[in-house]
Amino acid sequence: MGNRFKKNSKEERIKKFLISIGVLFSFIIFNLWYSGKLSELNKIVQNPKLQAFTIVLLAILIEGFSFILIGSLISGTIEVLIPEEKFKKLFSQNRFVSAITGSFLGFLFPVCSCGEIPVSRRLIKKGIPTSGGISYLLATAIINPITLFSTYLAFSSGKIVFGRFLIAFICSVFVGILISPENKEEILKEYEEEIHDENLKKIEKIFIHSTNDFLIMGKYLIIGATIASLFSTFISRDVFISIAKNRIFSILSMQILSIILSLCSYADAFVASSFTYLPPISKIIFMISGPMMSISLIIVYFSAFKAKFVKKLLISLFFTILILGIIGSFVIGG
Amino acid sequence: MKVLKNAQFYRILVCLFYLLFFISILLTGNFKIFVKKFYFPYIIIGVLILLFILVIESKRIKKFKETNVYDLFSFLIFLFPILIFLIVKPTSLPTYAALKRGIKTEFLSEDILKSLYEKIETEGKYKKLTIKQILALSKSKPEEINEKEVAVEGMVYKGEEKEKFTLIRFLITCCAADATPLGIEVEYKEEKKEEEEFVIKEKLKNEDWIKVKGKAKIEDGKVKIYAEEVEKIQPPTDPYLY
Repeated sequence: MGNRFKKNSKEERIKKFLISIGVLFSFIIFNLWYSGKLSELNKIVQNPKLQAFTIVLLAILIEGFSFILIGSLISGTIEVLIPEEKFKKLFSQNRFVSAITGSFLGFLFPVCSCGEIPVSRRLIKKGIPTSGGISYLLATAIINPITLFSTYLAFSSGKIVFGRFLIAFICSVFVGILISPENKEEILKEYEEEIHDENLKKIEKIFIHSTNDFLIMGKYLIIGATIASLFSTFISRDVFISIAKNRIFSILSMQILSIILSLCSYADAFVASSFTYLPPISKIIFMISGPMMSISLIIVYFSAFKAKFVKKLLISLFFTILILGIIGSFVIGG
Repeated sequence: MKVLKNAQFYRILVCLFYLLFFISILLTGNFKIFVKKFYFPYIIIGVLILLFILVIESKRIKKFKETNVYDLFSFLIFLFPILIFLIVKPTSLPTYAALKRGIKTEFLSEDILKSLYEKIETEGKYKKLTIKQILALSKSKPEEINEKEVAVEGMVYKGEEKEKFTLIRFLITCCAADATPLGIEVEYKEEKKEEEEFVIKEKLKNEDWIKVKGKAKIEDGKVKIYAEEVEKIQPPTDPYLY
């Protein structure tokens, strides 16, 4: 009863929000029309800030949607074609071994830009230990052949590639083991995905699961990409570079910059390499933090996993990356 | 209208809108404004998946499920990027984005060096080079660019100084979000300023696409072009460098 009441009041709030947006929008259009300035709209849409915002938003979405669709299809295929018992036999049930295996699954399911979220959710749902699912989620965008090769192209340095690989591996395995609960129900957000119609063919079931994943995660990706594009449009990157004065600040500022920029892991190495004056460890941290916890990813995490778990994941991830960065700066200098 | 009360209708509509959006940017080539050609196959795979989804979901339209406010809210969220695309009609990243990201006038990576292996054409006495090639040459083989006549295309960014502006091109690795602005300072000679085509400050605006012909010089490690000719050109079909 209480839940129903809560749900209704939430529905009411959304209704009011939608009506307010509609009223505000109509008011603006009416006002422009009344003052004879409707043609000014053309000037507004040509505004460079709006152009930059729109291009970055759509760029993140075109990339992200393609990968979410591919990830959703892999996820739907796993759900329909592989029985849970068989799946459990395929992967070790030991949480340590599973965390290590999970971090290398990027070679098997190499998806990036949010595509790993539906896959990791499905892997956990199908019975891979939670530690393995989490380490897959965190590592796969980095520990895959395309990202490692593009890192080499950007830096022409095997050391940077190895540093990125090693820190990503340690971080994903450590966080995977640290925060994984025994029970998968504590992680997975429940949403309606049961298909009751038994007459459906397997292929139809696969695509219906894909639609569910796409529609749920796509919505969150739009919100995340909108926030990332606003940051990218209005915040100057030089601000972050100018505060990178000492060891810790340089790591911290690159960590925060990578979170707000939400770059694809295939490309972030080229952006990192352009930060000419920063020490190598700060560049590596930029390339670790972004693919694991960029703002657009964080929002999509909330679509697939329970809020309590996501908060725990983000806090432990943030500090693990920071500490690994500081340790790294002592080991390799900077 | 019973169909408007069916949640399945909105699922189908979202898939249909995104399918049409992806097909339109592929057919018009507009996808190049947002992402590199490298993503072409991924977008094709996305289109095919959406097509299958649309066919299968359309067959289930008769499965009635009452629309609630959450379904409508989700639908509007999905509609937002499509609407903004149709209203803003984006063309290419503006110079405003270059300023926010910091214009790189000295930049060298293995990837940039690869541009030196591309075929270089000439236009009269001028070597036709891209900003990327000029920056790569200025660092790796300065003798091949210093005091040489070059022709280079890009967008204008006018700063405070009257006789200078920066020529900009964005270098893309994957998509517009990672675009790095590359720039070269252009200066025009005092004595020629009175000739009409050289009153650049008045004639050129930020975002204008131009071709600059002139002599490249390396000063304090940075390359600078002393312009002899400046002409407005149409924006290229591929606005970015890769």
